[in-house]
Amino acid sequence: MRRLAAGGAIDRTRPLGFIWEGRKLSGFAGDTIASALLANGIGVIGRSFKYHRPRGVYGAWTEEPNAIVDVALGARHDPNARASLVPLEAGMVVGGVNAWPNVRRDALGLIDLFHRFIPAGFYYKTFKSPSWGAFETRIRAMAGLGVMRPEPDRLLYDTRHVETDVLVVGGGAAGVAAARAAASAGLGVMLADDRAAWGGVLQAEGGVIDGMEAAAWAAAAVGEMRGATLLGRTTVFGAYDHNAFGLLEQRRDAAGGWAEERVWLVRARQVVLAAGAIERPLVFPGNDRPGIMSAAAVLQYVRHYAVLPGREVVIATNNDTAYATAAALVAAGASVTVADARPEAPGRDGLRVRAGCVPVGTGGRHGVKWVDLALRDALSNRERVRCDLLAISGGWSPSVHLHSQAGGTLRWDDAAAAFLPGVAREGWHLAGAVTGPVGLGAALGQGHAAGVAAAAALGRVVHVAPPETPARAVEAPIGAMWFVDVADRRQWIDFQNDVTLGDVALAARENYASVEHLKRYTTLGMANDQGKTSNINGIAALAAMTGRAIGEVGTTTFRPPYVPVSLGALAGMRHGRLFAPIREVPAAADHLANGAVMREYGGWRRPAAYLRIGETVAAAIAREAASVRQGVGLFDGSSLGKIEVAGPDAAAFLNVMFYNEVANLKVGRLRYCLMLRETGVVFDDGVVARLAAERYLLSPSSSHTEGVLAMLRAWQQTEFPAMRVVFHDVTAAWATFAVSGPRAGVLVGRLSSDIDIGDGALPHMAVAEGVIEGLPGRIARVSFTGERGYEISVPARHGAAMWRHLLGLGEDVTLYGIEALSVLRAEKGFILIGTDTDGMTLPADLGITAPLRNKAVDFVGKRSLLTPDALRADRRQFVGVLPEDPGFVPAVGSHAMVDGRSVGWVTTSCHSPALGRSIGLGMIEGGRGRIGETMEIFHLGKTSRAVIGEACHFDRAGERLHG
Amino acid sequence: MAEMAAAGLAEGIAGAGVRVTPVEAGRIWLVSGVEMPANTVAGGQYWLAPGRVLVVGGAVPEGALVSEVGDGFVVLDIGGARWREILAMAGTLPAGALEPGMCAQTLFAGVRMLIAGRDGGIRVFVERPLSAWLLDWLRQAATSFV
Repeated sequence: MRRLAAGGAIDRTRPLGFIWEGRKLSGFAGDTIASALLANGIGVIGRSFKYHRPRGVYGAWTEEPNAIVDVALGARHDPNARASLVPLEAGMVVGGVNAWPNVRRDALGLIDLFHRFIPAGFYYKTFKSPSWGAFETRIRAMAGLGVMRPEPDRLLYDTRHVETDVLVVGGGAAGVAAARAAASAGLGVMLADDRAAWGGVLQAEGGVIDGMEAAAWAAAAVGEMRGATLLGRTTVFGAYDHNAFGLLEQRRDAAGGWAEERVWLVRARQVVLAAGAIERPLVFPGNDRPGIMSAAAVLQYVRHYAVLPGREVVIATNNDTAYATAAALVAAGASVTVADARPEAPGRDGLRVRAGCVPVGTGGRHGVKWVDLALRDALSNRERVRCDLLAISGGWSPSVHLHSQAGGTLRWDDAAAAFLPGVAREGWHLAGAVTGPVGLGAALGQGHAAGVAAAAALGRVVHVAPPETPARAVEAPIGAMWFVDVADRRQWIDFQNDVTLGDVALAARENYASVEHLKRYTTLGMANDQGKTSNINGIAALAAMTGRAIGEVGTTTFRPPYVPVSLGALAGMRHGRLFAPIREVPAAADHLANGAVMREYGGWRRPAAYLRIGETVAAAIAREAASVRQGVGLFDGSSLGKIEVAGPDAAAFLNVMFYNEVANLKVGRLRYCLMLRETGVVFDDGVVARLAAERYLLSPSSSHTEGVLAMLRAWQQTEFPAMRVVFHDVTAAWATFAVSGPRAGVLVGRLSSDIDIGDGALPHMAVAEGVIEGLPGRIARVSFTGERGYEISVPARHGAAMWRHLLGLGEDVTLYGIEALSVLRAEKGFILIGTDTDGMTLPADLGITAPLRNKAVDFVGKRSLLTPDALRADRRQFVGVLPEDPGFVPAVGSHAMVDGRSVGWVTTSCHSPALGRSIGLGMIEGGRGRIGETMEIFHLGKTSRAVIGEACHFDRAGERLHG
Repeated sequence: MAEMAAAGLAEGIAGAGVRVTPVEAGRIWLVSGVEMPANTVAGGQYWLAPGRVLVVGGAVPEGALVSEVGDGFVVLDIGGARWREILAMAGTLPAGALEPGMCAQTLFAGVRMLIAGRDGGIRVFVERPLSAWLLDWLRQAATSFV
């Protein structure tokens, strides 16, 4: 065990058992999976992405590139969890990924022996014949991360939308100082930090603020902020336009099937970015072995988790911060040797410090056992030093991600050896280590100043004094060191994606001089750690290889998310039955009771067919369609759009909007009309009813109601604002039922109503309003089946009762669903917008040409119908398709082939009960001129033959409408 | 003449800190040609858009073009200590925009509806066909932890 006897923020009274690769281990409450594994002496935690090299814990937080593990607990499963981020819980089952049979003895570890043959981009050069696709599956199986489970995620996720005066990103010294100041000004403050406890690195580094222990000060300051929204364990993962932010909260209290993750979408008036900095590794040969860790991470493991990752420690550094780690290790009883790359290394009591000294090689199969040290100016003169932990620090990279995502600029600073924030976006204030190397005093001062500035921008005054801390000795400057200039180029830059110095050198030799090209060629920074530890080292190496300054090379673009965000969290509640809103018809429960198979059609859940016991859907469709032709059918058409258009100019306006003439429509009459786009393309079809001189009722397709309403409003508001006309969507207020078939009149005649439904008073394409069974309603004579048809509309609240009443009016009533209706309308050759038409279809293509010839006034789309393209003779035209084999139903989308060339396709096909054979509809080039010709139907390699015919397959004279 | 029963009110929701109560709001009209201050409620008139209001229960303004849509809406009162949280889950409209006397036509849980502020919560007017889905949504949202 490597657990220290005392100290740390763990709760030793709460041991937690967990499983690691089949072994039972134990940690404590307060551990992460990484700290618990380290405490148990587990060295190898993962295998690298490409070479399958053994890897151990490197970092202590979001920067961790190696320790990707599979974690399962109850319904939770994360195949790519960062061991350094996941709080340990009792019963967790944790395993390695990308290894077989396990991460310690991974059979694919052999790949590393062939590394010379598989450098960056090898697949572009090697796997060309017969095609990349022939190799892709196997290569992807060998390289990669964890594996998703096939079953659906059962957890529930949710989302919060919030506005705030000030969003403070980062709960370290600077962030807390800023939030404290802004809150004192009476502003609404949201403080987010990805750790559970406030104070950030103060937790490990300590210090004194306002006379208190630093971490305690942070906790107290946060506790005193009134009305602030405090989000611990919350990562701000993205900065978007207009100060919109995405936050990922890891909730500790998730229960009742809810996931731990919650996404917050925040809009902030002012932003304080105090996101800190990330320690970079040193780049040297063999720097990726288990047991080689970030020095800052080691400090956290020792202080925060009471874990001593090694007893014989070498610390390799080029800056002062690693000395805090050295001191902590010595205090914990470890033997420490410091190799400081700077010739003028600061002397420290009790430490063996080798100035001007760098690591040039390491050894140890499953964990580092030795490191070769050499003077920087005499690299061949090596000294081998035994160790079981090599802590490395290559300097600090400010976490400028959000600043950069928002459009803030960066500048390279040689003294800090870092890209520092340049010009920030309006309303942004940066503080702490994100601005460059700062001590605690400066971080607090900047944080307070940021809070003051944010408050001032919102017209408020801060009422607290800046926090104070005793002055500390000024740190010596960093001595930048980007790699070790030796022949061995297996110096890892990107641990997670296995990108070495040699890969960068290869890219540079092959003239991938742009950092964006380097990234894509080598995959540098493209792993799910997004290059937090590797990007700057990679850029610096490319600069050296191409003889440029680092600032000249520049950075790649910072893009959200800063940490991986699960798709479940992004979807929030939008999954399962709540995936998207769906509309129900008033009689939905009755349909289910009647045996309906309900499906979604254009945002409505509607009966597809009504199954009798033992009946298949196909058999039900055939039975329903045949019954409507022979007797009487009842159909729920409540989803059909209903838009009231009223006003003195209603007739004139609609005459502009519709292809067909509607101004001369008599009151009480209906007309089938097309609505076109300006392009002349058919946008929608439907029946227009004139209920009164200045009142029309439009019936757009169920899924087009909102689109038609929007188009009417847009034209009225932008082109005809003087016209006195209004549009009311009343779809939801009405339930509408279609009664269709030769006996429809008999059934409707049994209704108690003051509406005369006799053919004289209510002929086909007429409508009348009145009282139906005591309810205000309408009856329209209209048909989409080709049979005598009535549409009965009553207030929606009474829809279910009316459905049951109609059903009870005759024993021979057949219920029919959308699928049977589709067969009936296909028999009649009636179009379905979006099925038989597409974004190219003009009215003439459908054979509807009279309005263009006869209508006296201009209408939307008219000009486009007169273009040479619109008048071409070989446009695709709407026709019928009759397969030669009457038992064969061609697939919708099948190609229509003439002389070996595709001349169109099948848009609708079905078996027609009325005709006892298969029928289809299609769009065929010059189709109406080809009627009677035979063509080939081609689909998925199979060919059949069909005759082109009239679109109307049944009752061409339309006699049944009146039968 | 047959008895044509009207659909009853949907079942309400009583969650931890969340209460959803379907209400009978009386007759409702869509009215065009009436101006009132944007996003306000007064005398049973709810502002929908320039020149368009929803009149609930009250008298229909004279000279306006109206459509009766009472059957088209389901009206729900959402209250309880956590109603603001439900609002934050449902969409981007801040609770401050829904003080009593204020209203907005916007997306709530992805559904377009009219939301009005009231003491201790909000009143929403949702299209009847979407009300079952919305109640499912609210039922699940009500179980989300603070």
